[in-house]
Amino acid sequence: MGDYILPWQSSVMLKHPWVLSAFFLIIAILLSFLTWFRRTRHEQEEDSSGNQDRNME
Amino acid sequence: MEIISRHQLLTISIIYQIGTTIIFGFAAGAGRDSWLAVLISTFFGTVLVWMYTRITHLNPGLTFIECYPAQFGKVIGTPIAWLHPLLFLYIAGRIVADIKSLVPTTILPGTPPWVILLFFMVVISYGLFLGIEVMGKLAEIILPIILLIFLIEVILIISSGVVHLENLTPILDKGWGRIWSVVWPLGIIQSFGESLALALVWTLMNERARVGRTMILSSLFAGLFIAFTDAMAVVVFGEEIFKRATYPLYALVQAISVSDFIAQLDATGVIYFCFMAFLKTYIYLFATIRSIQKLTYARRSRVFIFPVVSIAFVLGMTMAPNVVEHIAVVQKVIPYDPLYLSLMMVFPFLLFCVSWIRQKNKTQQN
Repeated sequence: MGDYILPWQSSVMLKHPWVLSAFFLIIAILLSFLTWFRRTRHEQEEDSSGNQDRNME
Repeated sequence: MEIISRHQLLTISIIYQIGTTIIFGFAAGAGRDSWLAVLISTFFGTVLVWMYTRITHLNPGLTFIECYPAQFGKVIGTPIAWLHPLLFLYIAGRIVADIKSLVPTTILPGTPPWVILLFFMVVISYGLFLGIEVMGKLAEIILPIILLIFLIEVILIISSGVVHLENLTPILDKGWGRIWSVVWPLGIIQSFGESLALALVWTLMNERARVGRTMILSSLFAGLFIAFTDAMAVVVFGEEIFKRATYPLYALVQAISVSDFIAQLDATGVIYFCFMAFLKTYIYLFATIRSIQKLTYARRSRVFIFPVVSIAFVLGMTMAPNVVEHIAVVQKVIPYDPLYLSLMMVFPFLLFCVSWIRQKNKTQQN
């Protein structure tokens, strides 16, 4: 189990070549939640700024 | 917004694609036929790079990683897009580890590797703060200097009387097997498949329509350059030494000795190897930061520079205890790594097909 803590190390990659790919996949899925959360917020911000522009006109 | 010219993209791409490939000797497994293996890799690699450029052409206004959520939907596309900055960061760490093993064993013996890497990363961070436009201008200045130094070295090697053209023959005496084992998949992935990181720079070019031609030109130039350097190493050392040498092209510079007067030019070789490694690391980290900025909808990218550079530094320092293990990973693991193969070949091919079909349907509807 200790091997899997630093999966980018060459010794780990030579012994267990799939560990780094699995590690990246897990991180990518976790980070995707951040994107989905930020996207919703970004769209809301754009909508509100669009409404403000229309009110100004 | 930063804008780079076509010429700047061309010079960046050439230096990037030659990159660290020439430090460790490309396609050494093919022995005296390595130059032929490089030429075949260049052909397939150029087709791959052309496919990357078509994907960005079919998805105007989007960077390469934004194409995945746009075409595959946010549930599948977003994790695939996130895999890119993670892979770029890992490869940047590998180049940092290359420098860690090259510089202390060649020009700075006795200097702790962390000191060399610390200065290397500080300069890269400064470059990232200045932006890609400055790096484009630097590449425009440096590429002719590198080519001039290389030309002088070739002339000096020939003058040293160490060139034995008979080392190149017989061609294909051990068949096509060892050539194909080098071409697929490592030959195509290394240098050409790794051009994926450059896709994050293409959207910043002022003449977008000419990205494809520029990239094809740079791929062909880089391929011919690597093939020529491999052929030079074979004619000087012969097949067996070339295959066993850790740094065959560094040894090539060491072989220069004109009348025992012009000799020991190792430092010049290491300096241009380091610049190529510098630019390649820069582009990977730039691509990582730009990808993270796009995927987190952040307004500014500078906030990511320090964390990304620090992670690359830690990766480089902890990656391999010695150069033998470091190279073994490139030869035994990376060519068959599912992450490399899917991100550089399988997913881009699927993305290209989906983008092309959607574009075709759109034009038919219109």
